[in-house]
Amino acid sequence: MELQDLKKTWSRMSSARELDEDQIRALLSRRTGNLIDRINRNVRIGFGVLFILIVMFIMEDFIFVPMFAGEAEAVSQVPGWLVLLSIFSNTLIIITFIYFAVKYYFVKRSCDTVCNLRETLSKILGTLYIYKRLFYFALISLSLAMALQFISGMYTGMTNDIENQGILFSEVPVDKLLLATGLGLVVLVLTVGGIFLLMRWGFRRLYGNYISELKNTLRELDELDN
Amino acid sequence: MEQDFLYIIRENQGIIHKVCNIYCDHEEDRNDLFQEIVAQLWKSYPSFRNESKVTTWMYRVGLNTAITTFKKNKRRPDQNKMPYENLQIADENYESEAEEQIRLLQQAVAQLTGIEKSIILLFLENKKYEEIAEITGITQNYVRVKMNRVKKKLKKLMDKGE
Repeated sequence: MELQDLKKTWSRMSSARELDEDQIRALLSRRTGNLIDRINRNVRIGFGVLFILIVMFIMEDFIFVPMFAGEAEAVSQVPGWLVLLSIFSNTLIIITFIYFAVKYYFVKRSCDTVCNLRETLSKILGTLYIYKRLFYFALISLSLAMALQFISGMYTGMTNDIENQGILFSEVPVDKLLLATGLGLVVLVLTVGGIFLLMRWGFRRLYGNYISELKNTLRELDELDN
Repeated sequence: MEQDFLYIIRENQGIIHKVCNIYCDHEEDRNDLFQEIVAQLWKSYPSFRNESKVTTWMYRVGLNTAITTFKKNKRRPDQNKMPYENLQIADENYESEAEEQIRLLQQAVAQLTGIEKSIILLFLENKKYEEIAEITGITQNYVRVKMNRVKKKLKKLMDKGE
């Protein structure tokens, strides 16, 4: 078939359906399942959750801890390295929040009117990358927090137990300490690592194909200009 | 504003139907995409400032939505079938030859990539290189290059199907 015939064939095709204004209005009233809209919503929810976390961490450090410091000190002494790790993770969360917020603002600002195909693809990929990083960041923070809580709990439990038995820490046989630490680490790696891998697998399954499909489409457009 | 929007969509809904027809093989998918495009058009309508033609804006949003819409890969027994129950041949005296040509065209188009589909759609709609460049975001020269490649590919596919 000649190419000019294609146009003739195409012009012969028309839609059997013609919607009136009421039908179009009805379409608008239905909620769409657009993935990008959902991701944008999730990014904003993610920002909200991070903001609440930051406020809670600040309140914990500056209000609750000084308020209950006396009682808490009597119960257990938190080691300095755990406090340092906690400060480090809090600072990381705050810095990352600012980084994501700025990045998201620039991606969204890139074209505020209706973009062409290339700009749209870049914008969607930009949003998806932010979403992906936000997800991994939350996952790593959660894993880190779980690991810290686990180590902190294990340390406190062990020292309390030793104290209750009326012996000094230095008197505990090294092989028993190593065994307890080793078992603790195995449990830690299995639970935290398992949760991390499961969540990562879920994310890749949900968005992995979509991201690579969009990347390929953008590459196809870019190949032409290079 | 809503009334103006509804009027524009009603008058130009053929554009949306064509985008849906070229990107979807099944009635259900076409309906979903149609709804999605109308929703996206409504969302972008406040920022549409008549800087470009209404049809250009509609093609832009329609093609952007069709290409970036997440495909759920619904399993269907007739996955490879290309029904066109939603289409009709405008010419009342249509012949089996015309029907065969439409079938060939649809089969060939289905094998193109998302970008190729958009280029061929705009070619079939007699759009100028300038407007195609505006819609896709590539330069006019490359639209020309891509157009030639897609036309060759489509011709080859159709010849193979004959």
